[in-house]
Amino acid sequence: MDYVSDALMKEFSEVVARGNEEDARKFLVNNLKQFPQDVQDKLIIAFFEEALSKKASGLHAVADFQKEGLEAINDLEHGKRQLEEKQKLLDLKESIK
Amino acid sequence: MPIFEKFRKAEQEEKTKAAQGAEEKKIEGPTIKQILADKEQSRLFGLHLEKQGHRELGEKIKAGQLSPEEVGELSAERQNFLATMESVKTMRERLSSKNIEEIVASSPELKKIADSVGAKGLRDAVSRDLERLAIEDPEHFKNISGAIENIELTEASIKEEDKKVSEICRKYKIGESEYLEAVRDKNNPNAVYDLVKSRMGRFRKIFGSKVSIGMEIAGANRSADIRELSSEYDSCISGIGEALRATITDNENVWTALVADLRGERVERSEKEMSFSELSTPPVDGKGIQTEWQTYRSAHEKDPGFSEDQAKEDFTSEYMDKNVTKKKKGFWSVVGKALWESFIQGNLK
Repeated sequence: MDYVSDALMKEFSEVVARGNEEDARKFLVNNLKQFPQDVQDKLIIAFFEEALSKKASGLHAVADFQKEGLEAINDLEHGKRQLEEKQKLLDLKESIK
Repeated sequence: MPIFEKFRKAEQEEKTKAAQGAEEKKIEGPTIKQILADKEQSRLFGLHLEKQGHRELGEKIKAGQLSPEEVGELSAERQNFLATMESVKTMRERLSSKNIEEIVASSPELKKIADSVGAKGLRDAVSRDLERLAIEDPEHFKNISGAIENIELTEASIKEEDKKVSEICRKYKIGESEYLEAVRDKNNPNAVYDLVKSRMGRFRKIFGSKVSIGMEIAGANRSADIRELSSEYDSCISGIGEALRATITDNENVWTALVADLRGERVERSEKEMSFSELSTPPVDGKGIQTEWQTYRSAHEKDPGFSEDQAKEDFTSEYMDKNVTKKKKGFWSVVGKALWESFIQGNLK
């Protein structure tokens, strides 16, 4: 069975120690095939799960936004109908003066 | 009594209990004999027993030394194991190639990984590890499974709302041309995002400042007030409609900008997730771990029932607990565990 080598772990540790998250992510992606197969699988699942969660939360945000927006439009359209009724009433009052 | 005869008897007792109206729902599936006869199933069942704290049962099966109570325990664990395998099966069905491709398309990093290991390699990696994940890290497994379910439900809900948004856009003649122009704007790479942001800004302003419509209407008593209010409502509807228009786009750039804007407002890292800054790196190199392992081994090798494999696992587990943060969730937690575990195990010489 293969394991993560000393050299690869050292290189990754140095990237992590520099404190730049983007660089650390790039290192994992660019060096994926250097890792043993079981670790590659786990890393792919980590990226996959993250993308999955992002997609789920993004869709959720869009769904909430649609709901809020449509509710607001519904209220405004209802308000417009009430205004039309009010105008009709005013016109009627005006006509019977 | 031969060991498989004991299993058969225990399983028969289970069936009898079920027939007598036992409340517990039993899952149909391979018998223990069938599980043990299948190399992969047997390995997974062993892993399951170990994770449930019944490592000794696995050893006793091999030695044929199970007591009747232990056979009963094993049968109960078979049910739990079958339930786990059932949830893996459901998840695998949900994870169609199309679903995986959609997720990959949403992540530049996964796209790059797919370029490196191939689309099939990526699909296989996601799919083949599910059993191990479900057994070793059920919370993590449920998290993935829940996200997939969540996506399916939310997509269905969005599909329904899309029809209403399309109707609003048709009624108020709201098109996508501005968004598409922004996509084509070569001078400003952030043009789409800027436009989405401005539309969303307008939406939030309208939404945030919306006073009670009933009160506004009650206050409009002259024709001029009514016309003014009606015109203002038209403008609000158009503004909200323009923002909503981005939700029914077929253009990936517009959609990405919208999601980025919406997520930017709503997504916060959970406190239970490990952040990058919390990620530890090994305080020692491989040789350092080897030295610690030799010390550990020497301290335990005279223990009654000492097993080299067990000691390696215990050492790894203790070392991880000591040196890797115990927070269990999030991207960096998974990455840290995967690298550390492999690195430590590779140095147990």
